[in-house]
Amino acid sequence: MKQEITFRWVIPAIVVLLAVIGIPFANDYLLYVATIIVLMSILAVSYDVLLGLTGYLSLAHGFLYGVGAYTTAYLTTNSGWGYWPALVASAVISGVMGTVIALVAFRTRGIYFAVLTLGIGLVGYQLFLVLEPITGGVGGFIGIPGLPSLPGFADAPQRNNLVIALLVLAVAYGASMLFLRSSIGAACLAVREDVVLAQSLGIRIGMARLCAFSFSAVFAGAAGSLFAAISNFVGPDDFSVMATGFQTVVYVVVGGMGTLWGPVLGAVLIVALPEILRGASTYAVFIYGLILLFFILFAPKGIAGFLLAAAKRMSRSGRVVISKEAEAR
Amino acid sequence: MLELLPQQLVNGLALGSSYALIALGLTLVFGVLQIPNFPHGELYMLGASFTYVLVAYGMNFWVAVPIASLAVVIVGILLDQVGYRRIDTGGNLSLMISALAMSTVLQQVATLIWGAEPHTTLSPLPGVLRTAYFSIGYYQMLIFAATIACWLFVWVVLHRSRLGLAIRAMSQNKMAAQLMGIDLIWIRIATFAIGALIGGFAGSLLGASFPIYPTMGLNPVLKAFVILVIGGVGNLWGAIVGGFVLGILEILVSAYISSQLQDIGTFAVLVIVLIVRPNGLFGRAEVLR
Amino acid sequence: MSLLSINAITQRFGGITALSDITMSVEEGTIHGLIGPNGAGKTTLINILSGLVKPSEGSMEFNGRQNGPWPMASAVQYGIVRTFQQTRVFMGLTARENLRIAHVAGAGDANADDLIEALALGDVLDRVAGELPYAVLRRLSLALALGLRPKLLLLDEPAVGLAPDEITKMAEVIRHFHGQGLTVLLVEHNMRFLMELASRVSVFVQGRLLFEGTPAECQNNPTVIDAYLGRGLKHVEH
Repeated sequence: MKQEITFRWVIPAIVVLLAVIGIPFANDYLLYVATIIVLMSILAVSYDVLLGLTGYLSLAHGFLYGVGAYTTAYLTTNSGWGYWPALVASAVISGVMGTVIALVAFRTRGIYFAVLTLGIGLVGYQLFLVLEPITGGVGGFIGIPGLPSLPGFADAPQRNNLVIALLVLAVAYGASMLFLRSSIGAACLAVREDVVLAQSLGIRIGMARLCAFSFSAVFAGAAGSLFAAISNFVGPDDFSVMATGFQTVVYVVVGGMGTLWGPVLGAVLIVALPEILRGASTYAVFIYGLILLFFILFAPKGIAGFLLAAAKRMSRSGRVVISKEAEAR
Repeated sequence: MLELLPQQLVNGLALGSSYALIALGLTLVFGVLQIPNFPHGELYMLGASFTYVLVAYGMNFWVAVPIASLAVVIVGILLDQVGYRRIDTGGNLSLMISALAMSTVLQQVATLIWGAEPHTTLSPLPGVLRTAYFSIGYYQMLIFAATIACWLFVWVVLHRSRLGLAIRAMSQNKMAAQLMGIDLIWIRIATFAIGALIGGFAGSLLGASFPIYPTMGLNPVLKAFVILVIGGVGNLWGAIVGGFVLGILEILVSAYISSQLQDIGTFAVLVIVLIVRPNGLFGRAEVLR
Repeated sequence: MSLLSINAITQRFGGITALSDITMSVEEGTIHGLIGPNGAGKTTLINILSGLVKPSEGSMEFNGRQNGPWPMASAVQYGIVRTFQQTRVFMGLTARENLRIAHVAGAGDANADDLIEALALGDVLDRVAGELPYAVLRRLSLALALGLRPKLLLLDEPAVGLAPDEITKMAEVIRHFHGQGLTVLLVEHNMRFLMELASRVSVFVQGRLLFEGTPAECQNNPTVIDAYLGRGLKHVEH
């Protein structure tokens, strides 16, 4: 338990340290990969608030990510909005969409919830294709303006992208931590563990899980918004159910559900892996599937589970040493 | 417009029989073992792909169908043994994630072997029956008959055999079935084998009328889940009727409203049904009627 | 003054009548026992009072103000809290987190120190509930309920499956909080445990209220002995 709390601060500290050391020296390719990792971490952390804390498997988040991306694309390209208002609008619209979806979906449980959100994800993907005047249909949006420059980063757009993404990740991580420690977060854990007991303790379970879903939808929208501005292009294929939505499940499960810092590790590992195995990109989804299967079968607590067990063993052996020394005296 | 209605209904029945055929295997496994066997869609895809490969090597289509179906049975049993058995007590969430993972893995394996492009085969039974009101391909009639035959097959196995009795006992109460000396492992294997057999058979037959590609199972299996919601989990007759209803509905939507809305219409039905009846139209229906 | 009055409650499940026209009341500041053979409808009554199940007919009144049937969330707000016959705690969380949830997310207050002390949970706070021994879980589940600072606690067989010394401890805990003004409706199969604690006892048989009185009256009533106590009572005497 204590180790868990330590990790909550150690992992972000490592990320910040790596960023401070690495950003000035990394080349554009590394910066780009790092930016994508950070984007996926934003998705993973906020999605963990839903999957990890409440135990509800939503497959509609690829769609919500898309809603954020398309909103930013439309507003900045067609309506001439600045990026920051567009980011806020994307998060809000995705959050509202998520809330509406949640109101419908939480009428169901278990597999029905997954199937229903999967259906919503598929309908959403179809809508991206069909609503051509807004989304550009199959062709999507091109020429989306990039992220605005932060002071001091005007001549290094890749560095600028990474720094902005990191800032959004910091907000997402901080907000998720606050959520976990709030009364609603506690209620979510109660819902995940035992709904009937939670009810009998007077916990408003409907409110708790609705908040978790909306929360994750807001940050899915924000991540989508960043994605649109960073890649300058959005097309429907990134938002199909089996694309980013499925990958987010993989990050969270592999990293360790319900820990918040675990999914960040999951995203780092899973995004970096195909980049390390250069040229293996055709195998990427296959490898994702295998990794997901491996973890759910053999290590359902994910990487976080390994780390926590290791930390526990170390602190225990430390204590044993101390007590032996005491005995020797 | 309306004079085309009989034709649309026939088209709907033809599409519906393909849905029903896929839903049948899914509902059996879900009803007996409470496993949401998402990769059932990939078993369907493998049935089609195996048949395609065998026919491409010069084998007669009607010989290829049973061989491909049996090969799919092996895959189906493996799915359960590898992906579900060891986490059966781990709760719904693990089973769902495992199902999702295996589904992706099978899709990707198929892509690596056969590529992502769609393949088509010639219909083994060409020709069309024409009447004053509608026309229907002979092969479509065959699929319709096969759907009914599969339903009869499963019904007879469940209600007229010792194995079926054991399966039904297990679907009612795992613990009690075990106490009565029923070997759960063999019942699991048998249930998955029957489910996969129908799934593979469906793919093998339908591969001759739809394009064959690695993700071809995704949409049908989702439709099949919709049918389960409409027809009741574990309800065989509900799967058949639900399949036909959905098929006719889709064809009507696509004919009279917009073909782009065909799939959206289906999921709209799903959403509405689940809003009205969160546990499906028949709740947790009496299993295996 | 009666804290809870139950008025002509009937509960049918399909063709089975689980409770038939029950009228009784629980006085403020008492420990009220509820006994009866299996299937007498005791747990059904707890389910109704806690709002888990809505009765087919009848009404109830709490504290002179609240009228029921009420939903579960309202029951907790009024101060009616239950425990479960099968131990129910949040198995995947630590004992501390369990208590925190009851306090933070529910209606309870923040200070659980008295509960931790009274229920001897201090040593296990940082252990995951799923790894704790059964007797500790029983106490933890009681702590969750007490954490909500109820006026009326509905206890569904708190002593079931416990060793004799654990049962004594459980009785002490109940008496301790009863001393602080808690009213208890206690369903229990262990006669000695119940008769020692309760000041009033209602006997249910097949969904009907057969008898109500003090423990002594109950033990000497021939209908009760015939219908239910019989041999069980002799156990108590020896």
